[in-house]
Amino acid sequence: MSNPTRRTFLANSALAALFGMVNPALAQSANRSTPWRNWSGGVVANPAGRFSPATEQQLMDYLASSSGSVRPVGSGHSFTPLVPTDGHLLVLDQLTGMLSHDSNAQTATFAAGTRLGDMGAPLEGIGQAMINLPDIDRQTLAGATSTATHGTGIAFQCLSGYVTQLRLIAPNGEVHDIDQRSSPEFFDAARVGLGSLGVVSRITVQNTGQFRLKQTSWVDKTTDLLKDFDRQAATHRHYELFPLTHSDYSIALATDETDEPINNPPVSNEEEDGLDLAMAAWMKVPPKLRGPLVNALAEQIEPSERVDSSYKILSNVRNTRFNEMEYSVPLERGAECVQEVLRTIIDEEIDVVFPLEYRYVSRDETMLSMSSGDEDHAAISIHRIASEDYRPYFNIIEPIFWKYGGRPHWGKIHSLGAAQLSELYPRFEEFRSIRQRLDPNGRMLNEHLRKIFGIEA
Amino acid sequence: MKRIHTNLVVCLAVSLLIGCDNGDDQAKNVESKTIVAASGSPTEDQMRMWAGSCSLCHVAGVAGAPRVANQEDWSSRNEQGIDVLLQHTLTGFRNMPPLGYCMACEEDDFIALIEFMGTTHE
Repeated sequence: MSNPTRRTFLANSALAALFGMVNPALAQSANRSTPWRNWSGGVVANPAGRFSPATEQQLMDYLASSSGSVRPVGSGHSFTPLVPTDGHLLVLDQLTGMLSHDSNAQTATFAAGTRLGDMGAPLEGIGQAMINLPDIDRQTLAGATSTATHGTGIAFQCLSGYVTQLRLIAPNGEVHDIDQRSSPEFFDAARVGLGSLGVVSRITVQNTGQFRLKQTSWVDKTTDLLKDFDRQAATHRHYELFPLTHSDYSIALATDETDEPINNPPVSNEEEDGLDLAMAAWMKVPPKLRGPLVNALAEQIEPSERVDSSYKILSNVRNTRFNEMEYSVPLERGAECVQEVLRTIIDEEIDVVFPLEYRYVSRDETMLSMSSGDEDHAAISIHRIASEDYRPYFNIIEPIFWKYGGRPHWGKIHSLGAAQLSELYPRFEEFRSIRQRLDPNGRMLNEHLRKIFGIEA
Repeated sequence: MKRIHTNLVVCLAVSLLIGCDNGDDQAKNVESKTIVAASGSPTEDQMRMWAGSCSLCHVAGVAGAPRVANQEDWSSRNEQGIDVLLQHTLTGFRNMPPLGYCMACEEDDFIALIEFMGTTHE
């Protein structure tokens, strides 16, 4: 196995940039729509056009009256090439907002293009709150559920697990209102459909009453935190770790319901300046010498607390753009897997300052979520800043995830195809059969999805 | 060395993973005011696009985004010219993602919205 250094990483980045400049597939042809790029900038497409329906009826009419490839796009937060198409992008940014709610059942129906960050306030207005949220809130509801995006907590399923009903506009324009009672198999497929079954236009979500959360964070030795992880995960509503690379330490985050008053002050400029200096020093040190510095920094970190409405604690805006790989492994193998990843980063002298992320997610009944089936999973994420080539780092780490039976997050970078995926997901064939029935001509497919489902062009 | 608060590390050191802006609420509060303050002539459709994407950051100045119609924020940007600003918008620049979250925008839309946000009255 090669031993990547900062120099080789930078060289690879330059080559990748050069390739992007000369690759004819990335060159915009005349008369085509503005090129599309995902949030990190790593995925590029040249669609023939964009269609942004103002109503569901317009979306139905468009699909019924047109032909050719289409791909729905949310907010572009997937790092995998789920969106690219030579055909038309279907942009749902006019299909937003809360459409209805049921106070007794504590459910609410939102248009599919609603951003997660725009759901908390209207739900608060009707006395509801989402049960859990992922830690980025700029994604659209349809994008997040279609890729089984998840938050943290052994008691909580991915976001798709809280979908109680959805409306799917099939590739031929037909409308399907789907729920567990009327069509359980179809429902379990469509909740995590990767945009391959049609276009989801509205989603009903199971919520709960409003609640406030108190988040406590502290730093401790990673080995100690992992030994105690199961107990902490069972004790707290949410519990996760951010293992610091090239270090013996992790940041732990425990989050619980509280009645305490809101106390969520912004970080002061003075604090930001102090840490900027520490970070700058950290990044200048070669990876193999970085350990003592990071450890010294970690030992200076004091515990802290913040209290706010649930949706303001669970989700955040991420300002630094990155690429990410995330795999979920069976719960009992999680600690061993994350420790091997951390050890490999040190042994291979991988120049990365991003922490890892380690959390538990409950099992669910969807066909394709990372935690679908009959066992809970530990999700492990690695990240690389968007301007750097992620491949040398991710290529070294990905086989470790495979060794532990890992399943990839659909929106995050992975290299698996149908052969491997069918082994990882017991209901994979069932999903493929439903997809074939709904989209026999492959209108919703692109190159990436053809690879995932094992369909030749 | 002074002690470091873990909130800070969660926001910054570790930085890179979690942001701690509360800018969205702020953005919603001042959105209508800034639309009136800025000039330029985007179409109604373009203003809808702006409200659903650019405004997420460009109203409150989230993550260093230049605030709409703010001369202090825009003067140096405007000096670079629309071609540079358009290119930054299409490919992403610093913390701004490519397309600035506007998945429906074509180049003409971006030009109109950049000019809208960069027009100041001082």
